Amino acid sequence: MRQDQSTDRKLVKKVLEGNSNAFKTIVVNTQGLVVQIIYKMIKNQEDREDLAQEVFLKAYNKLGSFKFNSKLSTWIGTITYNTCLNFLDRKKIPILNIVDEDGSESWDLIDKKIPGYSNSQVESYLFRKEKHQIITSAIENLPPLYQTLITLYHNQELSYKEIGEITNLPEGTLKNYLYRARKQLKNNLLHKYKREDL
Amino acid sequence: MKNKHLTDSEIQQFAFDKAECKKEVVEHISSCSLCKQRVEAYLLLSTSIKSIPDPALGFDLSNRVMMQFDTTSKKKTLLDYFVYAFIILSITVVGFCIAYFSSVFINWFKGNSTVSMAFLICIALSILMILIIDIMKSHSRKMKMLKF
Ligand SMILES: [Zn+2]
Repeated sequence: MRQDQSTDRKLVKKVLEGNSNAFKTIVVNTQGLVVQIIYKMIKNQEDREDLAQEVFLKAYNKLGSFKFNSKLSTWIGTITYNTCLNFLDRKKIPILNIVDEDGSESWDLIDKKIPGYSNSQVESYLFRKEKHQIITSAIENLPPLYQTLITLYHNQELSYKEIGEITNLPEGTLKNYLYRARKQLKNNLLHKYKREDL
Repeated sequence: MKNKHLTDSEIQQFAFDKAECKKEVVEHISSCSLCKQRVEAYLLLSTSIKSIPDPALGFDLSNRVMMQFDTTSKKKTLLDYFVYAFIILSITVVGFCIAYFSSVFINWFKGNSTVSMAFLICIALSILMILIIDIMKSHSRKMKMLKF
């Protein structure tokens, strides 16, 4: 963390002095996070490509105002999230669809609907044998915000603090959303399994 | 209450935020194989998500971004040259016209009163002013557009 900070400072200083290669290093170091957020928030490939470039042009222009209160990557993650948010807002696409939340306990649902199959059989089959593609498409069925939170937590392995900084959500809300996101994802997978394999 | 299985949130809390779990939850899981399985299912789900390959754009993003910086700065200087060339050209053309037609103008003005001559000069000057202001405005607007 401390080392990250001093690397960030050195890189930012170089960019502000006019060294464009230093900015290229910043792009290379942070593009993984930027692309992950964009892919989860935005569906259209052309829009994703445009937004990825827009994010780094914004970061370049705002770099002088970066105060080192967070990691540089987190700061660029925030720019990415806000850029996507503005884009979705312009297109009137909601980032969270509260209507399709499932209130019931999904475990009970499976118990009732698949008689003859015990919980353990269903679960172990489901979660061990899921292919990347099936999980990916189940994640894609979540609202953009849930997809983003799942990715930041499980793929980017960011802390709650960092995810909170990027999405501007308090920790309690964030955890609550993550619980709901995983539950909805699990339900999507269980329903898919039930349709295709039983 | 003790016989009831844990809720989904409690299961997830045990799987991902164990430090925050209530004592009862930890105790229940240690003695209930069903809830333990549910925790394991979530942990497996987490592992499966982690193993999904990262998405990638179909092009080198860093090169594309750097290229955009280059073309933008080139565009900027080109536009600068164009605007200055245009201003110099218009001044030259106006100057040439004045020099060429001055004799015609002088003869024409001689036939008119000084009042109407002053009136004509005023109109000419204001048209020139409007044109210059318009050029400056569009120039600064284009500059702003290029600064993203
Ligand atoms: Zn139990």
